[in-house]
Amino acid sequence: MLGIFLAALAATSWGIMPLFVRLGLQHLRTTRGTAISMMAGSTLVLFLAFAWHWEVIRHFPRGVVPWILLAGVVSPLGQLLHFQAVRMAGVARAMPILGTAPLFSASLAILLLGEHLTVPLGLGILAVVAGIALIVHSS
Amino acid sequence: MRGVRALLLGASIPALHRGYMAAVGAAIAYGGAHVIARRIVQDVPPLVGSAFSLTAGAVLLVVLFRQALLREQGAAPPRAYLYIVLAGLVSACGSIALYWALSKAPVVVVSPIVGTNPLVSILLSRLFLQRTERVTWRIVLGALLVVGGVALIALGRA
Repeated sequence: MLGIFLAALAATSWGIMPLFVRLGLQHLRTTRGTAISMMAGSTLVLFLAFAWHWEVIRHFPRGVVPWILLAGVVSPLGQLLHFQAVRMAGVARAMPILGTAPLFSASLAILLLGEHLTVPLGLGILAVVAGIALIVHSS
Repeated sequence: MRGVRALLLGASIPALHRGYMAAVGAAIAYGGAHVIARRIVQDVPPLVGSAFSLTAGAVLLVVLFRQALLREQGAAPPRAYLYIVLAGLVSACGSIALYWALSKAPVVVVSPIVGTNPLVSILLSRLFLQRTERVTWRIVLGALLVVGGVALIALGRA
């Protein structure tokens, strides 16, 4: 039950976030807004990581550093485009398209990690593509 | 990088289309980030991986756009900064809640629930952003298809 509550909390948090982005970017450039937002978010998460996982951070495995740096390039790129999408297309149109990230992670996992294409996965991909077509067609 | 620059600054493409292209680009980047995150959490707890990835990203953005950041200082009203800081904090809360949820419940339960966040956005924009946002039945139906599709993808990978 706690897991479901926390998952709903995550969905609500990420559902609220683009509204703040839309309001903030009425007066700020996308690059500035993205940088400030990421600094605020990373400060909070970094503080909690130090508080809860100090021992892990003290003995940080070196092998993971290149992956962290790679994520450090890909994540801000995603965030920058995310903010620009909300600014240009609006919350209601941009968010469902942004929600298709699992489609791309599944595709990458099939291509790079050797995962298999199952029937639910194929149906899910079709539904996502149909959904995007409807949203884009709405304009 | 040139493509990203065109999306951010390009004037020849209509704004709405640039918005769609940026949304697809962001979804691809986030999809890639999820695959990288799966590798990171093999070695460190998700919260640590997320903290350092976010911090590395924030530092990169500040370094890349430092001149623009300094030039524009004080150009916007304080409430704009408040909204943007809140966006960052709320997003971070979402990440923390997700990692905590994954430690309490299986992915097949957590992923479809988390995947409903576009519906929350649409509902809230319908309630609070009526002046700037128009929510049509096509958008709602499209969002439902996307959320259902993402849930099927999560189940198909479990």
